[in-house]
Parts: sequence; C-alpha cells; structure tokens
Amino acid sequence: MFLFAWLKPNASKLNACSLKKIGIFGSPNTGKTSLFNRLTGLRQHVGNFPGITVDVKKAIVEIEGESFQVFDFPGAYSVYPKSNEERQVFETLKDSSSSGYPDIGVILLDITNLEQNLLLLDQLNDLGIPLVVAINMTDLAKRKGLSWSLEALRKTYPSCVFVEINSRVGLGLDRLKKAVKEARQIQDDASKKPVFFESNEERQEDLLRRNDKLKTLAKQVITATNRDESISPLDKLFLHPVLGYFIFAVVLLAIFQTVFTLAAYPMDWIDMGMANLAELVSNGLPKGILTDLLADGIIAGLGGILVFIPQIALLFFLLALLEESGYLSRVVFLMDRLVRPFGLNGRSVVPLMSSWACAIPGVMAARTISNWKERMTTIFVAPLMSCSARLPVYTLLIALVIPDKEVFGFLNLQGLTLFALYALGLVSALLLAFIVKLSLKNRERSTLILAMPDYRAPHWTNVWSMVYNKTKSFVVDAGKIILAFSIILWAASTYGPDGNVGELELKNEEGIELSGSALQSAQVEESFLGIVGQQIEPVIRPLGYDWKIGIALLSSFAAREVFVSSLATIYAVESDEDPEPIIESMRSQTHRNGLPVFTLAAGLSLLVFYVYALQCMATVAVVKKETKSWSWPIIQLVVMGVWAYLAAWLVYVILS
Amino acid sequence: MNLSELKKGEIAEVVGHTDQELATTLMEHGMIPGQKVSLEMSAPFRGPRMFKVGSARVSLRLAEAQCIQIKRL
Repeated sequence: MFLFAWLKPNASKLNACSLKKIGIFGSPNTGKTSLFNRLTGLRQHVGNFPGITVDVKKAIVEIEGESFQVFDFPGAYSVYPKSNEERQVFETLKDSSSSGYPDIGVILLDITNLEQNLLLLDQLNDLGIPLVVAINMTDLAKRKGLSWSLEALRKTYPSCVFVEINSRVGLGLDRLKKAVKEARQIQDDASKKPVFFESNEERQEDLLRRNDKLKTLAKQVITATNRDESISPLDKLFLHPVLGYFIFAVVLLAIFQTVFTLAAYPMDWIDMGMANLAELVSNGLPKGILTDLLADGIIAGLGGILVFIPQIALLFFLLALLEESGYLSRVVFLMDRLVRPFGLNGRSVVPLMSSWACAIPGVMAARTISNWKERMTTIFVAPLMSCSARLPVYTLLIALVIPDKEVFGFLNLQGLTLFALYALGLVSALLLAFIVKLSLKNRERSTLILAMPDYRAPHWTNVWSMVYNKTKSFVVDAGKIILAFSIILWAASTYGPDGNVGELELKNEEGIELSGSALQSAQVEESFLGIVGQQIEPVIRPLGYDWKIGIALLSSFAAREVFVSSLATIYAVESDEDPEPIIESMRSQTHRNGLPVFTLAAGLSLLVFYVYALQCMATVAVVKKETKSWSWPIIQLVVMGVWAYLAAWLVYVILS
Repeated sequence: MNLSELKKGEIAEVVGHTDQELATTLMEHGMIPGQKVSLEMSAPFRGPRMFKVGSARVSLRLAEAQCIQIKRL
C-alpha cells in the first residue's frame, strides 16, 4: 500500500503556504545532505522550488509544536550561481517577498575547512536572512587535532545563532531546533548589504574584499592545529596513472556484476508474483473486459514498472557508497581526459557504464553532471550501451544464425559475436556523443573545477535516502507513462476489428478448427497489433524481416526481452521457457516465396537493429522525466530508429 | 608563469587570474591571490591535475590551470 501513498500528494502540502520556511544552506561536502536527512527523515520529497520549476528536496518538519517547511538549497560556495538551476534558486534570495525566500536560514560550516565555507555565511548574513549557523564535523576536527573558539564568529555575526552539531551521528539536533525557534525573533534589516553582483569584475572584487576579512576571522576561530595536511595514501593509489585505472576497472566490474546478477533474483520474483497475481485475478473475477484490463493491462503494466526497482535500487545503493566515500570524484579525475574528446565529462562515465546493466538508472545518474550540454549528451547516448534486457534477444538470435564453432583455436564464434555487439553499442555511443557535441549549441563552456573531498566512511542515512528517493521518483514519475504504454499495448494485442481476438474461433486453410497454441498464434494475427505488423511488412521487408518479426518488434517496445516471448506466441511454440523449440520453429519459417526467413543476413540485421533501436518505453519515460520535455525522448527515438533501420538494412544488403 | 607549468614538489603562490569568466569559481575553490598552491597528482595523457591550495584540494584540467597566474616560492 505504501506504493499508492506515494501517488497521492502530501496532504499537509495543502496548507504549506502559510508555514514558515527554513532554507538549508551549505557549501559542498559540509554534511548538508546528512543534516537534511536527519531533520526530515523519509518525509522528504522532491518537488518544485516555490515559484520556479527547479527540483528541490523539501519536507514539513515539526519543531517544538510548530510546523515548518524545510527546503534544501543547492550546495554552493557562494550565492553566485554555477548553473541555470542554481541561478533560479538563488535569485529568490534577492527579493524577500518572493515565494521561495526563507524566513530562517540554517547554514552549515565544516569546521575542518572553515576558511572556504565562511564566504557563503558572510553573503547570507549581508542579505539579512535570520541565520542559524551549525558548526559541523566537530568530531573529525578533534581527531585532526583542531581546537577552536566561536567567540570571534559571534562578534563578527552578532545576529546569528551558533550551535555545534554532528550531522553524521545526529548530535546536537535538539540544540539546532531550539536555535531555529530563537532565530525567528531576530529582525535585522538595517545591516543589509549588496551581495548579488552581476559582472565578473564586481564579483571578484567582492570575493577579494570578503576574503581578507574571512582569512583573519578563520585564524581567530581555529586556535590550534597540528593536522597532517599531506596527500592521503589512498589518493596515491586511486589516482595512480596505472594502478588507479586497474582499481577503477575492478570497482566497475564489481558494480556491473552485482547489478547484473544480484538484481536477477528479485526481478524473477516480481515477474512470477505479478504473473500469479494476474492469473488469480483473471480466474477469480467474472470473465469480461474489465477483468482482462486489470489482469493483462494494469497488473502486467505494474509488473513492468516494479521489475526495474531491484536494478535501480541496487545501482543507486552502490553509487551512493561511491559518492559518500569520496571515490566518485577520483573516478571523474581518472576518466575525464579519456571521454572529453567525445563531448562528455568525467562525470558521464559512471552513468554510461551503469547503462550496461540498465539505461534507466544510468539516465537518472546523469544528474550529477552540472554542465547542461554534457548531461544531455550523456542521457542521449546512454540507451546505446547494450543493457541486460537485450541479452535474451542477442542470445536467441546468435544461437539461431551464428554457428557454434571455434575461431583462432580458442575463441567461440558465438561469444565473439556477443562481444562485438556490446562493442558496437559502446563505439556508437561515443560516436553519437561526438555528433551531439557538434550539433548542440555551446551554451556553456566545458570546464572541470572539481573539489576533491577527504575520504570518509559512507553515511548510511544518506545512502538509504538516495536509494529511496531515486526508486520513488522512478515509480511515481516514469511509472505513469509506462503504465499508459502497457495498457495501449495490451489493448492493441487483445482487440481487433472483430472485438476481443481471444474469443475468435479460427480455422486453418483446410477448414479445421484451430486450438491451443496454433489458435493463439492465429488470434494474434487478427488483433490491431497483428494488423499493424502485417501493414508494416513492406517497410521492414528490405531489412529481411517478415510481418511476424514486425509484430514482435512492436510488442518488444514494452521491454526488449518481450521479443522472445512474442515470437514464441506468434510461432505457436507451447513453452517460452526453453529456447530450443523457438529456435527450431524459427529455423523452419519461410517467406511467402518459400525462402527461409532467418538467414545469416536477416539474423545479423535483426541483431544490429536491437543494438541501435530505442525499443524500451521505460527509457523513453525516464528521459522525459529527467529532461522535463518530450522533445528529447522523441528526437532520441527517431534518431536511434532511423540509425537502427539504416544499419540493419546495410547489414542485410551486404550479406545477402 | 601559470599553474599548468607547476611541477610536483614545487610550491607557488597564486598571483591572479587571466580568465574573468572562470575566476569567480576558481576563487571559491581556494585559488585566491596570496594562497599557497602545489601539484599533487596528474592524470595521464595531459589529463586533470589535483592541486592542494590552502587546506583544500581541487582538480583542474590544464585549460583551467592555464588561467591561473602563479609565482614560484
């Protein structure tokens, strides 16, 4: 039931406008996410920032009997925006009457990196927002041998309330909440100073001016230090020009293997569970269109959404570990040079590699790329990385047309073909990225200014919160589109001009009543999907396909692996568990002129088609969700469709 | 000289910036005139370089490092 609770808007949101707003501020790596998670728990959700369409994490939190609306502001070193989204969010701070303007600001300072963090505090203070300053990472500072005194800070910012906290273990949260109540009483309009300078020169002057003051201030606060600031031995290993890449390859392989193999079990359970549920419903309820819709349309559609959850959750669990530990910045450092020529960024590497398991979490992981152009390029090419749903299609077709023999004495030709298909996907993704790079107008220049945080043990609250939020946003946002597509596909394959094709009694050419799988096969031909499949035969004929493959291609838009079960139905094979009968049946298929359908040329053409075509409605839905527009997924669908068609045609023409 | 010319083991001081557009971001990451800076790691094939500036660490591509003027200490 918790699933449906997600679909309903938060009931308390209705009167949220009247609540006081708390904005959480902080520079990157100050523990802002941890504090937000500590304060809000799983009540948080991603929604629009008030007044603008930028995504923001928010939650309603009760503090000593009063409800507050808490917003997570983007992590930043200053209020000067680095991206278009940041610009929109920080511009709400210009005008105290704008709907995103916080009544209270909570700003985090990492005491171990105070000098760099003070800038944001100084600017926010000048804006006149009542501030609670949370001094974080005090445990780490003690371990590093730091001593500090907040006297100088209190003197410099008399209107701020200071508290020491430890957001990782949740220490000092009560103090912080109390401070929030105190901060509200402070009204300080007189000391407001200009902060938002537009020109680069003015901004730098402002930064330099503040820096002189803040440097002295930091020295007064940190009274003693004997910390070891030399390079971490881990960096010497992870960033090593040879060993570093080897370690990354191992990490990647481990991620890939985990997502690929471990997710398969829960995916099977979901598949089986939903199939049983569908059967239960269709047997238990009176026969009719509504029962069919529920069992074969809605429940099958929900199954199509839920089946992705294990992969998404597992991948984001592993990615959160990498991000929390600080290793992800090291991956960006290592890979940036290698992918830069293709218009990608070091940050594109993990999303693209994840797409080998499944493009959906891959596309979602591209969020970490701040450069708009590089992020769009990454999302655009991610579906070309051969995902795990293509594997059943690849293996079936390879078994069908590629002889099982050795080449060069030790390589298996079938295995070699499989490898070639993955390589073709990867090379094509890089090529397409290069084309996108040339064709997208350069709105932002490509730069890499990457903070390298200290290594830290992952914070579990943050890890779980990331897994939960990513999974939830997939189910809620992409789920709706997937469900709609599933119902359309179900209707098209169940109904034809003569009504429900399942009720049709059909005869074969000799006039004998068909039954069993032969009947089912004949019924599919009478459905709208079957008719469209037959109609498009002239279009796919140049690729070497017949209309039966056309139907399977259309229905595999639900998910690529459906191709196999569709063929099983169309070829009237009793069981789709064991591929052997399907392969036998496919071998015996002939065109109307009597020639076999599945020649080497047609098989390879079909394989190449599956490398390129965006045959996955879930990916389309996720790209729409992530890019917030239909134009990206539609362009992607067309580009990859045309590419698939031309490449498949070329392969067929050359080989036949 | 600029930051891309700095070698491992050398210590330098940031003097200024030659790229107005990047200067703000670079300064926020610690590349402020007067700060001490040193090179810690380089990625192969003229890839990004990790610098220590003040007590912070930041990685830059050569193109960005070229925009930061330094003097060797």
